[in-house]
Amino acid sequence: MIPKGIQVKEFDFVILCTTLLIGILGVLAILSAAYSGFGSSNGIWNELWMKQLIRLVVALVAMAVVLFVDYRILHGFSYILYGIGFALLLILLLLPEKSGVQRWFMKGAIQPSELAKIILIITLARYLSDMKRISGHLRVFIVAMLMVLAYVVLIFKQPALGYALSLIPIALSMFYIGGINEIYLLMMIIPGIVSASTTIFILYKGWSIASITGVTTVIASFVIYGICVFLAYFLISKTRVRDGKKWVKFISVCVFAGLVIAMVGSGLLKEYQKKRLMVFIDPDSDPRGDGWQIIQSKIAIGSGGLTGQGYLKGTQNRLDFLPAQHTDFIFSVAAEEKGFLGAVFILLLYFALIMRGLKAIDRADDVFGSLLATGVVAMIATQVFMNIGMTLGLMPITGVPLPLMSYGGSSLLATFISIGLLLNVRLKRQ
Amino acid sequence: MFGTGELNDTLIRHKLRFIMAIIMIGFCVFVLRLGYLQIVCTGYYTEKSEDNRIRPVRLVPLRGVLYDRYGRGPLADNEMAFDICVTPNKAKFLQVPDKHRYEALQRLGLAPEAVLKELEANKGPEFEPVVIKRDVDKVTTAYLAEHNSYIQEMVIQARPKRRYKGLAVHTIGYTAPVNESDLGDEYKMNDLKGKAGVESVYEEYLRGKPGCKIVEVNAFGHTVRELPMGIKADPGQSINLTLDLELQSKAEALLEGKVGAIVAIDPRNGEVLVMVSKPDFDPNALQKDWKEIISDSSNPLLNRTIMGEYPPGSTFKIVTATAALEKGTVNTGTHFYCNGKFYLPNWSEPFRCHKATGHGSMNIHEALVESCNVFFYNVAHQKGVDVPLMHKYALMYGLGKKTGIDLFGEKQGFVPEIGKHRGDKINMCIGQGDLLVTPLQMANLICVMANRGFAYKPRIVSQPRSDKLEYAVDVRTQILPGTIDIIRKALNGVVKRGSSRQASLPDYETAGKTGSAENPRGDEHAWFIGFAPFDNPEIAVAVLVENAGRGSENAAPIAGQIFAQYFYKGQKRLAEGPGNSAISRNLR
Repeated sequence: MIPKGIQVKEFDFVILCTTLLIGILGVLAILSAAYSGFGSSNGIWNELWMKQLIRLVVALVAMAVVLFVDYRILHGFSYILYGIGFALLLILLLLPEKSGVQRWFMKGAIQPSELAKIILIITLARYLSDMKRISGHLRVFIVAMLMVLAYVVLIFKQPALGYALSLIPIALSMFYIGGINEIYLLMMIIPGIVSASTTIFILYKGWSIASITGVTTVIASFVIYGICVFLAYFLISKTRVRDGKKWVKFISVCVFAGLVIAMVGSGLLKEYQKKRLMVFIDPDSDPRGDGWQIIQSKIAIGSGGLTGQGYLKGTQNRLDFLPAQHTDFIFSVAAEEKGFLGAVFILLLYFALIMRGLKAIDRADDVFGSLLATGVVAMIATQVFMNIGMTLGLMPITGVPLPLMSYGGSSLLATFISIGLLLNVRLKRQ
Repeated sequence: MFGTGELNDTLIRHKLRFIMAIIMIGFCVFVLRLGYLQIVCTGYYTEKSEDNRIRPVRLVPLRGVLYDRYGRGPLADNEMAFDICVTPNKAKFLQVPDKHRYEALQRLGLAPEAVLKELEANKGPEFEPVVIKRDVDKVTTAYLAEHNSYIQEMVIQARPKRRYKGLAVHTIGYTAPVNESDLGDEYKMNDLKGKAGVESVYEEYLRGKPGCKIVEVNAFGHTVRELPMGIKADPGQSINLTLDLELQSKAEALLEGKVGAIVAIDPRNGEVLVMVSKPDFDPNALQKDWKEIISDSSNPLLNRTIMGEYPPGSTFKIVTATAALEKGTVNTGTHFYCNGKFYLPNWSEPFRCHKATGHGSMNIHEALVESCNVFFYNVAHQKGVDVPLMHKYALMYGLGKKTGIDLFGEKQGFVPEIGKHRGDKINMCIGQGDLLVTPLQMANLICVMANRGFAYKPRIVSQPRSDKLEYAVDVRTQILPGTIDIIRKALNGVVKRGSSRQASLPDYETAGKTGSAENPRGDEHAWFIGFAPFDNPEIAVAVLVENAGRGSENAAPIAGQIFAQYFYKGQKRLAEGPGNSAISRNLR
């Protein structure tokens, strides 16, 4: 049953196939990950891979539903959805605290952060497409930014630093495609990069930052940042692109702003978050604790060699040296058992998926669709980079799952629904 | 220009190209990184991976078993003890709430925080399990094994542990984990090493040769499988002691509750049949009771048979008699009159005999039988019999020097070489003064008597496992057979007619000598040394009971019971005790 007005030839089978292929590879990797580390005497229906397979089917059905409903309907619902998402995140924060992490709702059945991501994409797409005529204005940027920040702060507070950070690249790419003035983006990106690297540097050097965590200092720092940004904007607002001197001034002001943020930001991090950043630089500084995951993941991947140790034969995985091998470190399992060739194959599948996604942005009927597709592609790409980068020791450890492969229902469902949106946008409607 | 705000296809396509470039760079970095890890550095990481999972495990050899002379016992063997270990990097799981884990920690009596603190201090390798609780009982071990899937961080390690029968504890000694100074190629941490007695002397035979197995372990330190390489452990050699299990346990029972020592030797070869020292300790609970044991004023760790030094009392009269007979100052016709006192000229106090009314006229035979002090005072008062002479013969009998038994810590006692005062030799002739002997030395002395002039070096291990061990070393004295015969007859008389009738047997002739050694710490030490049968001695015994009183009443009956046990295997003893039968026979 194909809704009227849809040209079936525009349906992107490559996206569908890569998605399914990655999902099935994920189930196989989970089977291997749980092969010995977890009890296998619970009956086949309780096996993790079987659960994941069932979820895969459910997610596929959800994707089909999303696919057959015109995405434009979401345009009207978007602000309501935003409100619901906001409420969910807020409730989650107000719930009684359990073991410090509040990412889970009802024993992990629903993960609001995953849902919030999609909602944010839809809402931003709605707002930016509504404002497409005046998208270069500062007001649009500020409103959009506030919408993003509300979610980022709520998720950061859970605390789920990784999830919170993963929203920023999504927002930035949507801003970029949505026509927000690049100057504003630069005023975020440059201080962002500078502050992130400085924070890590400060932590690595072990400099005391405890003294600058007071509320007044935080406010003062943001005021300084605000002044810097204003100054930066003022410096180049009436400037043509090739005016080199002004650009140098602009960038130096942005860098200064980044340094200020780093001073404050490092103080805002929780102890375990600081530690994770530190072991990213030097895993051996805490080989038993947080460095453990990085070290063991690198050992797993490295010992895979060119062709891998063979399916179900990866010792790092089989003997539980790899932590969270069926969730966050599923890529390490695959890389250990399938080797360089298998790992590159998986990377290629993700690459193909993302490239086809970029094509969907280009081929969308309207700006709303374009922006939706942008958000979805950015979401998948960000998570792939964060997760695989983490397993390779290129990024700090954040609890971001590998989309389509990691064990976990919420993430799988969210990813399939997003890809459903992507395919939906891709469909040419007359 | 920036900030046009216009959205059109060309611009979007332009921007998409930029995004595409970023993504492509990202993927290129990942592929390069994968290549670096998986192709360039794969050797390094493969090695690391194997370091993780492959571990050599030292196989502690089973220690040699100790049996008695007939292979009975075992006096010491091995049992399995279980230790609970935690791999340092998995220790954090101890804090995860779980009802099985809670139950396990309860049973072990451990608090997770304390364990973690301890592990923090331990700077061992990441995957090397660290013992958090030793000697866990079997029920708890079974519980942990059963619920292992819930409490994976706890690893059960089995190790052999020494189990003792609790007999001859001083002779057998004990084992303990090696000291830090022992660590090296031969001993590793927590290996057992003999610390006293036979366990220590024969350590190199008993300990065996450790082996090594190669196992694959998981991250929790559990062994997943054994890899087909490695070396098996060689168990230690078992050793038969010369002890007679039945005789030993009988002797232990006889001395129970008393402080003292019993040594029985087969005079025909020097094999020690019985070696008892009381009070003793429970070698199985040594570690637990250690503080109590070392603070005990009765010194249970002291092996009184070889380390206890006592004045010999009247048993020394054998030496005095030998010296006088050999010197010729006394022969069988020499008589001295005992009126209960002996006055040394110009000496304020008289030297007394134990019989205040006196023994009357005595020759050497009667003097030994009655243990008359005055006779020996007179002998020692004679010209020619002096401290150096008695020293010479004491040494000939093996006093004042180590017997050379294959045990560590033997004391040599003390025999004065020269008298400082005139009274010294008077004191020495009846075994008082500065004289000190060990029960083993006295057993050795009576062996010389039993063998008519020689003894074998006492030994505790009957089957020497090395050429290094000398077999039955014969120690000959230069005492004339005539002298020996006179004394032997007298010793036979002691148990027949003298003070020690309770050391006689109905069907066998026995011989012996009592002693009641005065000492500064209370009642006299009761001594009895003797042998049986009289003509072809098979067993020589020395009994010492500290501060028990007279030897004839407190030591001789014990020796009698041991003789009875030896000859009748305990069968006749109940029907007619040797003491009673001896008395009844005498009455007949």
